[in-house]
Amino acid sequence: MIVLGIESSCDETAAAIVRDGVHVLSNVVRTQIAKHRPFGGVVPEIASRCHLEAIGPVVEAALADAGLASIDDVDGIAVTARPGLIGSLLVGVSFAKGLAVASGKPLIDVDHIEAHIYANLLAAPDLEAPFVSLIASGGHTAIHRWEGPGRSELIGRTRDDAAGEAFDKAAALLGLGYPGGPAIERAARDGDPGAVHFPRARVKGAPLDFSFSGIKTAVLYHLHGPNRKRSDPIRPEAGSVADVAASFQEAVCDVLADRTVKAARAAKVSAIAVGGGVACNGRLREKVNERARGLRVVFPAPALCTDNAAMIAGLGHHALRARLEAGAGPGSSLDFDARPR
Amino acid sequence: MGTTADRELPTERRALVSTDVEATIALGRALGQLVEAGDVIALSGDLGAGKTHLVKGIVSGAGGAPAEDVVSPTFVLLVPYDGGRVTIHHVDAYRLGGPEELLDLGAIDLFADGVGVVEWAERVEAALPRERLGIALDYGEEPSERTLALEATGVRPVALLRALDRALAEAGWGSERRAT
Repeated sequence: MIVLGIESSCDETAAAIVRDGVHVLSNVVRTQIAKHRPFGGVVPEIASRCHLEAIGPVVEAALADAGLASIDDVDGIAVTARPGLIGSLLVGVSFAKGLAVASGKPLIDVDHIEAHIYANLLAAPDLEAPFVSLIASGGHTAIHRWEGPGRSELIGRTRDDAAGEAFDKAAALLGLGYPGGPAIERAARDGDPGAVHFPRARVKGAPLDFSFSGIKTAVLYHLHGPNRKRSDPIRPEAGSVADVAASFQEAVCDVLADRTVKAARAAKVSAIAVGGGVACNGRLREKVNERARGLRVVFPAPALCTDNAAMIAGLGHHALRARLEAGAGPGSSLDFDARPR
Repeated sequence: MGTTADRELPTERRALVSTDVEATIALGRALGQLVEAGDVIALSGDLGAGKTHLVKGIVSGAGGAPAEDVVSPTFVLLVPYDGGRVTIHHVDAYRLGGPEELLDLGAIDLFADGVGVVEWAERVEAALPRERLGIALDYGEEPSERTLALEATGVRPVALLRALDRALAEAGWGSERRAT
């Protein structure tokens, strides 16, 4: 079965073609990062207008890259319906509904977070359930126990900032570029991760939850002095940017790896799968691998970690197959809405 | 045509000190119990000043969601919490390029039938209604301490601020308060 996936929940407009839930035939992402760098790099592709301009060409490119002549060559369409920015989600959902009606193809609504977990099965199709998944990105940080499509349980989450957001904001404090994840990792290469001890915050009563808001303040106080402001000068004793970046990265990766491996041991699973943009971080890969002795560890390639539509098509395949096996027609498949949460 | 800027609007200010994160959330909760559809709360202050914690309180006070479910909307930009008596639209302007992008987001239209709570309001000030409750958060003298400068502009925001005074007094909200 061939499925077209469509993703527009946040900054990226993306489309992909996946065969039988695991073979990625095409994976097209239109990103705005390069375009926005000249403006200081924090301008997101907020306007649903931008998604609207991109979505037709992106879907066409996904079909063409996969060697398909038209939408008639796919068996179904899957689209991200939640969670995300409502205006952006609506562009993908409306486009997909229109395409489904025009082509007569069945349509599947997909959860963005569950699809991030599923991206590990695109990277490692032999990965067996149950496993524990860490999804860490700019907008999300969560640990799930995955039993199968439609059966994943949330067992840990951030109470404030997402891990990727912490990287971006620390990079801003250090005067490094955007996006902050790669900028911190680059700067950290020449730094000493033990130079500064940043807090590894715990959430009372929730040993698998995260809190990353305090580390922003810790970085600010370290750079400018206790109870000082960002407009105050950086203290000489703050040390090098490389040392602060390396120490910050060490603290965030420690916490992510610690909670994830703890969750896996507690859930008695034999594998850990990591996804989301922060999974591109090399230090996080090292840390998880160090701690997860005896467990299988999967990190997908960067193109499958960041927002993409292959994970949407892959997960959508399973729901589509279940629906077809249940003998349901495509008639009811438009009966869902985009949801922000 | 007279602009709204020409109009004299009532304005009142308060300066509060929050001792810690819990006090900031408690202040937000008191405010959340008082807000009504159409209210706009503009939060400003640097990274780590406590804006999201204040919003945790506002959303839980309004019954929109438990405080622990309210997280930073920096990436997703806008999250509605509609579980309570009034919808709280939680907006984060950190990644916005300017006021016009807040308008692109459709946020201002949403505020009419809910409460708009905007983080990094200083980045999008020109797009915000002039009648609003502004709260500027800053670092205090102690590591966990934060100062809050509240400024209500307009009849309804001033009434909201006065109601907040009473609620905080009744709750014995534990910080020193200095009138300005």
